[in-house]
Amino acid sequence: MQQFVGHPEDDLILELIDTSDKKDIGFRYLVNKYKERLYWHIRRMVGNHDDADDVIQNTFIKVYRNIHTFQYNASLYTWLYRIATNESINFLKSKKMSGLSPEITDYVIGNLKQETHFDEDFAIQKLKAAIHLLPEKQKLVFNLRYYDELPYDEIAAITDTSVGALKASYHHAVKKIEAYIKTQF
Amino acid sequence: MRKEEIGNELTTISPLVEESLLNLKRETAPQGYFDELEASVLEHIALEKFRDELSASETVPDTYFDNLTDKIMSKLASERSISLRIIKLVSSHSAVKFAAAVLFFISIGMIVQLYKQPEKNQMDAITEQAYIDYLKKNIDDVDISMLIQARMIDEGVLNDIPSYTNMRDLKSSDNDE
Repeated sequence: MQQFVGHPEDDLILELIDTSDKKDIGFRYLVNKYKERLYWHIRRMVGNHDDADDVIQNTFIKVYRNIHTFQYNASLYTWLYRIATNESINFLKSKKMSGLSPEITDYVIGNLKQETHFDEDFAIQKLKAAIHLLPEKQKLVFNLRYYDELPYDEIAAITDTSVGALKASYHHAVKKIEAYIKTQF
Repeated sequence: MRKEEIGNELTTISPLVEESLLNLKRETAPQGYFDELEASVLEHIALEKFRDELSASETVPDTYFDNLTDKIMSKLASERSISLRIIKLVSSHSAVKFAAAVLFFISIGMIVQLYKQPEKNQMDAITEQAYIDYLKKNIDDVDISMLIQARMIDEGVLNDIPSYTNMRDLKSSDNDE
């Protein structure tokens, strides 16, 4: 078997996955290459490690089951982000965490307290809470843009939204975080 | 390059948020988590595959369950009737004894037939002249009438036997008186 110093190209991964007796080898490469990026994307959506762990496992299982439906007109990376995003949103919905009800706010802040290091100050906790409490779509756009540093056209492919709408979403998200910070301090 | 572009974009929208985010410590995952993640995912997938194979092997033809009850009931009925017949035959001693007796008598009959066969053949070999010679020596009326009745001899043959004709004449004169 060919050995790679870094990660193999997506084309090669897909070729291996397409070969029936090498599917598992190809899939192992895929998991290795994308596990960290997808984990952080999911974790920023769901807010804590344990939930992120559940969601990423479901994401990869879904990828494995549906890899034959992957269309080569999108990048593998975009396709994976899309599945991870949908899984995160479904997870949040299953926990009834979409929206900004007081129960949800408490849940998210509770999660953040568990995740936050003892030396982190109150201001940082509040900033994290501000991001987590954004509406789903705005949080997704904010995370993809600020943390994942994706260009708008890739975010558009992941979220099925126009670039103009994404820019507006990002703008609103930042303004909401700003407003939250101002009210807390 | 993109990082700088994104930073500038954020500063334009909100310098406060940009500054706050710079102070935010990067979150961490538990130590060794990513090393274990791959194995954990693959284990889950292996389990999924096993479940899929199991469920695939558990499929049945479309109408299978519609006919299953009838099939089972008819099979049960035929098996029950066979076992009942066997039980009846075995448990009924008289029937077994009867069958054994029938077989015994048939066998005996066959053996007797086998022994009789040469005797009959010997009888066939005796010629009519030998009968006559025998009768001439040992005749008495009872025997002769029995032989005639049994059609073993023709009465005409007896005319050659003087003792028989004398005896016949004597009998007929007694009847006339």
